[in-house]
Amino acid sequence: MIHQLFGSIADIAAGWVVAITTLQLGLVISAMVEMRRLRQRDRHQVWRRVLRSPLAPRISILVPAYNEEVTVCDTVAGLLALSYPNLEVVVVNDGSPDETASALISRFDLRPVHPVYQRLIPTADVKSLYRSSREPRLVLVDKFNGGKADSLNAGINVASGDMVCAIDADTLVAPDALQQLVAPFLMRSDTVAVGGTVRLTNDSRVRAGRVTELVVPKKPLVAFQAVEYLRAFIIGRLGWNPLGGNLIISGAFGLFSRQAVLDAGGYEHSSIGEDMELIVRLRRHGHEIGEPAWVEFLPEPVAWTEAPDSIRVLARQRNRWERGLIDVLSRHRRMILNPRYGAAGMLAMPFFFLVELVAPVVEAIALVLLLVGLVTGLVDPAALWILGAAYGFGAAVTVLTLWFDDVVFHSYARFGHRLKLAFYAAAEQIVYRQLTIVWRLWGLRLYVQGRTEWGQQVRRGFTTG
Amino acid sequence: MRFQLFLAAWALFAVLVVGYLGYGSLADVGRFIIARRRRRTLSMLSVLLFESDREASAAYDAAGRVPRRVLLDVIQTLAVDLSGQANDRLRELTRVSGLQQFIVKRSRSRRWRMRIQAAQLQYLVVDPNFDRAALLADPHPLVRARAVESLDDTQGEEFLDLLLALLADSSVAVRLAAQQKILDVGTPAVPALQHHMRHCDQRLIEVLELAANLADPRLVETLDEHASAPDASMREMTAVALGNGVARLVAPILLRLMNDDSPAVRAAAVVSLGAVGDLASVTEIGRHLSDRSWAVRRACGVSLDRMGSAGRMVLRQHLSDPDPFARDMARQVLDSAAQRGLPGPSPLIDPLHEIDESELADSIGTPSSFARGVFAVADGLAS
Repeated sequence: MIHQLFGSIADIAAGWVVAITTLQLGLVISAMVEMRRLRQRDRHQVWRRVLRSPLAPRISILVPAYNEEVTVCDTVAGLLALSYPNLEVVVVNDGSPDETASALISRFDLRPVHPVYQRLIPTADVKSLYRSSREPRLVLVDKFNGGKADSLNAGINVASGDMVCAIDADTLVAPDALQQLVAPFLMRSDTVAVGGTVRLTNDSRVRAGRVTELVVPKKPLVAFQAVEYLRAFIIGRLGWNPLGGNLIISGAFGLFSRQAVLDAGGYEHSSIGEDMELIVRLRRHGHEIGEPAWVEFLPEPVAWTEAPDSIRVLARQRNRWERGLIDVLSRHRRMILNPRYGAAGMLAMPFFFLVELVAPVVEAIALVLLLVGLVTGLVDPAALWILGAAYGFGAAVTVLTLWFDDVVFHSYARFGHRLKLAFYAAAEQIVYRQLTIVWRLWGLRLYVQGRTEWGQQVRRGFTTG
Repeated sequence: MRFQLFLAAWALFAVLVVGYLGYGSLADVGRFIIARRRRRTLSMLSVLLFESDREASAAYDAAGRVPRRVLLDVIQTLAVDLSGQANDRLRELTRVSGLQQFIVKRSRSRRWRMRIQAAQLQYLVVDPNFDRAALLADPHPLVRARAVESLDDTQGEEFLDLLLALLADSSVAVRLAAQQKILDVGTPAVPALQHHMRHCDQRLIEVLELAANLADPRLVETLDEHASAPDASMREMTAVALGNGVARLVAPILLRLMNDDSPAVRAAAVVSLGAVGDLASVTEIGRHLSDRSWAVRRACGVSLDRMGSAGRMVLRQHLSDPDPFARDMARQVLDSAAQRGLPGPSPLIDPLHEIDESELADSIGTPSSFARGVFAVADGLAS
């Protein structure tokens, strides 16, 4: 009996991997269909002139900053240079012990202004507000530490825009990204959130807040993440658009209707995955009041961010993401398979539960049993071929997403870059995939223990040239 | 069997890698050729559009030989910002190259994606029988928006009534495009706008926003009629628009709006009084430093500061106001002024004054984004 069980472990594991990869393949195809639709819609750049108008909807970019003294000034300089006519940049210093606030104050000549604001969402106390004497569009909110969600809420309170764009302090935004992001709001009145693509800047050249040359990161750990990001944004976001089940707008780059966020009560302080939680809550709220909210992902507006380049920091980030996911699924478990919540409840939530939460656990159990079986001789070593085949299929789907990315965005312009990416797509299945499973299980364990801290990321600053 | 499966999966991977790399390389070559062809066409067109008549006439023949798809692509890119002689020459080029008939044909297409292309280039068509109004009334909102956007200023003047009607369009994009086009037309649009403001009651908020941006004193008399509109957002926008007027004419209306029920309207009225610099109103603005709403108090502080020494004198008087909120706002504004080297009450900055939630209960109607933008800019100027 045990022999039989162990004998079929490899088949079960491979079947599971193939099933999950097939679901992902379905989303790649869905992404292709969606991309065609978006291309046809946006081909004629309808918004290019309209959105140069001073009458364009006002956008407040929220930049929560905690210990970001290395990158925050470059980020803000890049944001102020964006080609959007009606813009405000609200930097929220979340009680950073480093020189984040003073770096901004000296670089942009910030002065304290009337420190009165309307607390529409409760937040930690604000110490002072600053405005720049050179750049009237810049506001700095200096507050006591309260976490990222709290900072975003403070930014929403102070913001004067019809829309708020949440980005990370180490994020660089492409010059025309906001003009593209705002378009769905002009086309559909039920739009509450629009997200764009996030790519990695590690080792790429940055000048005056702009990415001037994109290269494949040199460190394998970061290169794996570059491949992973490409796949995640095509499968996990674009693929969900036509199905109406988009549940994630990246915290590093998303545009929201300020009023919709205020109506929903702002970002949830106690959630670790505050970006996903907000989107799920906006969708849930929309369905519950009979006005389903539209959330759209646009692949073309791009923002750039720095990925962790050490295993320790990456592990912390991934286990936090995992805890965030579990937290969101647990808070909104009523939505799972509930037809009242449309595609979000019937498709997206079950998918996230199965593929993002259950799959790593099942794969980990299967891998451990397989290893035990091989050591004890209960499993025939030939069974490894079937697992290898499943991983080969996974790598093939990843290359398909890379190809898709090349057709649509032409992100990596050199043959050498493409070759490296293809190599990492294969290597990812053998090394990186197993590591992410370990980090996810670690996150699951911490969640069960009730640990909610964020962990720190060390910023290296952008490579200038 | 298992080994064959393994081989099959990785063979699929290998095939896709070869496809990915091969396609990428071929696409690179394709992009290079297209970019080169585009560059050549662009340089030829720059001769045609901007050089002397003799050189330009030689370039017409060469441009006529460029494939229509490339020419269309380049013209679409160029067409956005051209005017004057360059525009006339571009029109001539589209006429001799047969592109005009092509545009007319596309404008009648049953597919909106074809019509949108025609909408984008319609301003190049000189045929008097060409039906621009049909594109402006197209059933697809993107085509309407594009058609509005690509009208040149003269055409915009010609279609003013239609543009004003489009301010009530169901699509935000079309409304925004129509607003911007009227703004581009500028002063010649004022009489039509006045007429529209008097006789139309649909979506007046967009019209008032336009009036605020056009900044033409002639609009003030019409705005007076909307100062008592039942909708608070319209009164607020009226107050903002009045900020472009002459102090003598608009101050009585703004002083009336300062006693409006809506805090957003009161705040906008105060900001406008500050903008027109009506020194006779400083005492009344100072009185509103004790307003129930923080937005109004803040606007009063900023406006008084903007009004110079007379305004700051009133602020200094309010440093001993029995109302702590008026006192606090006066101190904050004067402290801020002191930092800019202007006379202030003391070098000391008060600790942050936190507004109690219950105290905010009266100020539920927060200022619109437009007015908030005005505050933001005013704050920036103040600092």
